[in-house]
Amino acid sequence: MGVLVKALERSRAHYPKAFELALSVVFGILIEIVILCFQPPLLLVRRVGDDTADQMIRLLERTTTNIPKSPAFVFIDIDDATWKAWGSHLVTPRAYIAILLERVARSKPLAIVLDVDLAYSDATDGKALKDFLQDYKSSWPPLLLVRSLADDPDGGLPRLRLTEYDQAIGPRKINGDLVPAKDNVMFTSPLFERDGDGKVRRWKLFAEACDGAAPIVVPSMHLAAAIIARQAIYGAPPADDDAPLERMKRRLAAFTPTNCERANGAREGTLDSSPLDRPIRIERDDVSKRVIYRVAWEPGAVGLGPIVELPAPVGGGQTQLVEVRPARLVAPGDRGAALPGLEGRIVVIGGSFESGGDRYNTPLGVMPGSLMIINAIEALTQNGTPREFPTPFRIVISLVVIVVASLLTLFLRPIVAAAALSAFLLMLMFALLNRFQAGAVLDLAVPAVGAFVHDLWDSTVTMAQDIRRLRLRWLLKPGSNEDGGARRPQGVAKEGGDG
Amino acid sequence: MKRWVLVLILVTVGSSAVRAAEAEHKSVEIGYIESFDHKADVYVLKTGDTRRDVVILAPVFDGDTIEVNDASATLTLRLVGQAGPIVLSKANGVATITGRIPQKGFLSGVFAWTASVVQLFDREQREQVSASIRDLGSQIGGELSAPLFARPQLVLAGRRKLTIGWVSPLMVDIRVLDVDGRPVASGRGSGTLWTTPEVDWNPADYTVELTASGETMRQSLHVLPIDKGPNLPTELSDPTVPEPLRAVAAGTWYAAEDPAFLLEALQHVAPDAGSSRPARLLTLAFIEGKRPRPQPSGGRGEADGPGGPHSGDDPLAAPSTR
Repeated sequence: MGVLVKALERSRAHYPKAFELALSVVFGILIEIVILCFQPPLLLVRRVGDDTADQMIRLLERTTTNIPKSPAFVFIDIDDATWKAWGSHLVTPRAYIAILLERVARSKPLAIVLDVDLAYSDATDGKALKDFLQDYKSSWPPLLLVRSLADDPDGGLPRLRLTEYDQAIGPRKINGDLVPAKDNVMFTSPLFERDGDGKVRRWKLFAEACDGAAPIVVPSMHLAAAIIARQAIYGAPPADDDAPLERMKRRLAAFTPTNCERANGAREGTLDSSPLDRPIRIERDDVSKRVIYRVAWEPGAVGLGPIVELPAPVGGGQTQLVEVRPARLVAPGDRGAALPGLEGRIVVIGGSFESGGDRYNTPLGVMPGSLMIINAIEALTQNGTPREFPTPFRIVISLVVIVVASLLTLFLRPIVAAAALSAFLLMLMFALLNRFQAGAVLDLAVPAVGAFVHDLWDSTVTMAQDIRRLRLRWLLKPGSNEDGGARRPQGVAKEGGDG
Repeated sequence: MKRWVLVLILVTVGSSAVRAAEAEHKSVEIGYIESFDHKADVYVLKTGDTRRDVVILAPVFDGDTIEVNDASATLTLRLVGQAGPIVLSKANGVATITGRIPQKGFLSGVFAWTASVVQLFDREQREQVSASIRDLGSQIGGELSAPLFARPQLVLAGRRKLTIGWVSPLMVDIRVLDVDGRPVASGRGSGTLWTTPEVDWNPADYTVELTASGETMRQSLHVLPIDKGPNLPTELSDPTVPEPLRAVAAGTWYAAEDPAFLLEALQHVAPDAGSSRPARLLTLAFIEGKRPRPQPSGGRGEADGPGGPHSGDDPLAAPSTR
């Protein structure tokens, strides 16, 4: 032991810079190990990770021109003009919804997503919509409806909010004969997670709820639509002939809670394994829930997002990821007539009108809830659930960040070192942008927070030495010939992490 | 070194040319048809040599041609990169429609991103929020306004539904009381229209009562025997005319006849408000107490409210511009 200490002291005397660097690196590694092994629930760790991923999402949005294999979307938008033309109702008139749905259903889209909560009544008997849903043909495309949930004040699982349209698609008796539930119409959950800073960054792939006394899982809209889209693009998984929604229901059954008392969040598993390199998995980590947004909202725009290819069976060609069409133009036509330009696309019917309040802050700015759902469907279809890089790669990246941060703080003034570290992290982001686009998320929180804590420790040690040297005089403002030594600004790594 | 630079430039230019050539072969959707005011066969829409149907929302591709064959016809397009609509007429001849989806180059994207990171050009995003359940406070509250009931109303007897209209607020409790004060129909209206169930409306006096935000408005409603009502022109009963058209015409006629018949007029147009634009316009006008301009010869009622002739505001056109 004594020999080791002597060797260290000798090294320090002969190679002071190298010694300090080595010490910094070792200390940085120790911090990394602590953070990685114990996963402390530090807000700082999460914030830095979120900020970095947000920046990469923004960078991706501004640099992506086309996405080769992506479903195309049409957003039938109940915009401000439509809302006004329809009478500025508190609840969107269900008769109009019936017209929109019928015209869209006859237009051969890949799937229809109705992002309107039908649990609220529009003060009519809703007959038109009920009749439409009751007569929804089995040959028509899958129709996904919103199922909202009511929280249980006693802390149990939330309850289903049933609608007056449930009976129209559920099992029912017609002329004494039992008619089974429609298998191409499904209630789904539009739930996402909102962070403490008000931004929606993560999805929920299903919601656990209680139907009477029975615990159930309600699939999310984006999950159901993505599974339909993935099957259309990549084909059905081998040896599985079920329709996409049936397959999803079968896989989700394993996640049903055991009772209505509490959620069962601990299970993990695969919901869709095709394609193999981009599965949709349920995992407990934060990364797998990340929505990699690609489309920002622009009011009044005809199209949004990068260019995608239209499927060959519908004539091919190119279009923007999301074509936006005002709902007011759809309603007046012959309800039996198909709408042009919807074939083979996923049609989302929702509202962007301001009074609806269906707007959320996201890493790409404020957008209507329907566009958030479109982003989630697209990300799930393209990438599956995001995943972290392999552990060895993450360790190497962390080490590189620590060594670079240590070198920079060793040779440069703190303010210059902070800028240089930001530039380094920026280059790292550029280098990893393609992998990020494919759903591989590098969580820079650990190396960045490690560098920050390292810097904090360095400052604290210097301050302690000053206190020891100056005693009570340390409290006084240092004179011109007296270097306090504790004036080194902190937060180098934090600034770098933000970069 | 120079050779490497040259090779790099050639590779870059070559790949760009290949991409451009690929893009040229593919049709690119750049917008859609928003509206047209004549029959579809007046317009010729072509993608390449293929003639396509002219319908509302038909996609328009880069390089499509559109020709308008009637001097009084117009066709309105919405295209990418254009803030407003594009209106075509015969004067445009065979118009070639072009547009370009904004391309995001890597360098320009990085520049825009860097600018947003240092917040040089991005405007801070703020919007007002309401700290109430479902943000309904501003919509549910507000002064009770029902210009339709500014004066006593007359409707014709018979078994039918009765549609009541008001302007604000969006949630209103409604009752129709008979002469003894007993409710004949009641309910809560959401929006600006509410319809009673089918009721046998016998010739008698009733009261319409609207309540919202602690405020109550009452107006008398007199149900007339059918033979005591104004005589509709026989043309309005012509069975060869489509029913929605007859309803709109009858509603307009009642409203023009007398402001006391505005509620009766509303009964004719409100059922079709969801599917017919003229019916919707009239419904909105009647709810706001507006009615068609009386005939210049006079004697057929008077205009009231802000939409009357004295305001210079055409009551039928007004709602469509709001």
